[in-house]
Amino acid sequence: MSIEEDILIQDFIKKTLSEKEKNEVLLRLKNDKNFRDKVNFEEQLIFNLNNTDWSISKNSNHPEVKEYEKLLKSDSTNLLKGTLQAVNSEYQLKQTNKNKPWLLYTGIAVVLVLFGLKVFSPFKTLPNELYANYIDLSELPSLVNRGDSKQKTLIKAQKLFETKAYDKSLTILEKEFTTVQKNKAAVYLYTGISQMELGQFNKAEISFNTLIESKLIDSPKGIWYKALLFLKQNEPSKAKKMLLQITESSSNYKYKEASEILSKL
Amino acid sequence: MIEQIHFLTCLVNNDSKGIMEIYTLIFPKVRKFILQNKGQQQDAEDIFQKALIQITVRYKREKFKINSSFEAYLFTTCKNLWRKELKRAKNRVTNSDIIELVATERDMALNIMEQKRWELFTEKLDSISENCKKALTLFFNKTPYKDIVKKMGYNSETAARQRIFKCKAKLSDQIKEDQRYNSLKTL
Repeated sequence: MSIEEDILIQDFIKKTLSEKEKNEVLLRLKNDKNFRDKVNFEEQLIFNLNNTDWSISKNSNHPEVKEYEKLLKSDSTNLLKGTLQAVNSEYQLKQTNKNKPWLLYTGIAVVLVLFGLKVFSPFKTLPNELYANYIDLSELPSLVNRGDSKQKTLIKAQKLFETKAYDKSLTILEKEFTTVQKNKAAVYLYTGISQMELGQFNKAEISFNTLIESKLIDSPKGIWYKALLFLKQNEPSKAKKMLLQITESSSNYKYKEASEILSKL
Repeated sequence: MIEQIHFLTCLVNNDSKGIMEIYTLIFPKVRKFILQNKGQQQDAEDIFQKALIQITVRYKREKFKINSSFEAYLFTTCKNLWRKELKRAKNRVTNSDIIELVATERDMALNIMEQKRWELFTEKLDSISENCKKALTLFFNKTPYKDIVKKMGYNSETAARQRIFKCKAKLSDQIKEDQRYNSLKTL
């Protein structure tokens, strides 16, 4: 590029050209790709290396932009956004309270009122309440195949389970747990849920882990029930981890429900 | 280096305790900068959060290297985001055309790429001779040639123009020769 052309481009960017000169440059920009590239680059130099300006891009079809856009829309980024908002609120409140001690007491009072509302309000969304809202035993697969009358013990376990006699059902299921050959996933699920309902949380976790690690077709259900187990125990952060695994793909079992719960936690 | 990895890991792992450390260490400086530059408290909070998301997402994708402290890098990212906001606000007032509203995620994706381009340009400006860097910094910040002549001790405005032309050519070559520019030139 000659110094004359450089000066012309500078004056065009600074908008100090006469109307005639400006129109000539605009015409060249339209017809001369090489000249257009020079002007674009010069603009990038000026806007990037000026302390108060900025070079704004508009090419949203750029492949890398698309890739970043996808990442920014991902569930993990949404979760980060939520955490940042929460930390920001906490930090700003701390700063305000540092300057105005009376606000600290107001803040505490507000928190206490909100806590009271959360505990006593009919609209509370405590984790164990989410558990109650989302556990749906009617959608569990059957322990036995239709017409298979040979599996009498499992039929009995299923009937006991359906009448919420979890302790009796569990006695049968725990015996079957390691030896069962057919419907393994269902046995693991019924066992885990019975243990969960009986408050045997550690055992329930082991049962669901067995299902998750079994690589059976129904093993993804283990992740969902493990998330529910943590909700029942009022352990939202552990539950979130499981729910996030589910929301990694919209084709995962209980994707919609997991997303709903995450937004409520 | 250890501090950088610590903070980046906190962000990637969504660790609220670590993120609070970042707030305590860096937010006051960002807030001060934005309040001194036509912004409000809310602007400072928004910019800070955007910058943290931007850094996290970029780090997740490319594990990029930060050449300064984490604190300095985050501050610069915030400063650049605020520069963009100010430019936009200015365009809104002066431009009578309809402004296309871009989706937040798309805008943030563009921010990441713009930051990458800015890093390349500033890195190359730092790598040329001290004299050229000084002259170009004056030039890019719209200092009149007559003032550049005085500050740099050139004989005349013509000499200043020629010197800046040569320095700019050097800088341009270095930017264009860098591999990173290939993906940034079509931005």
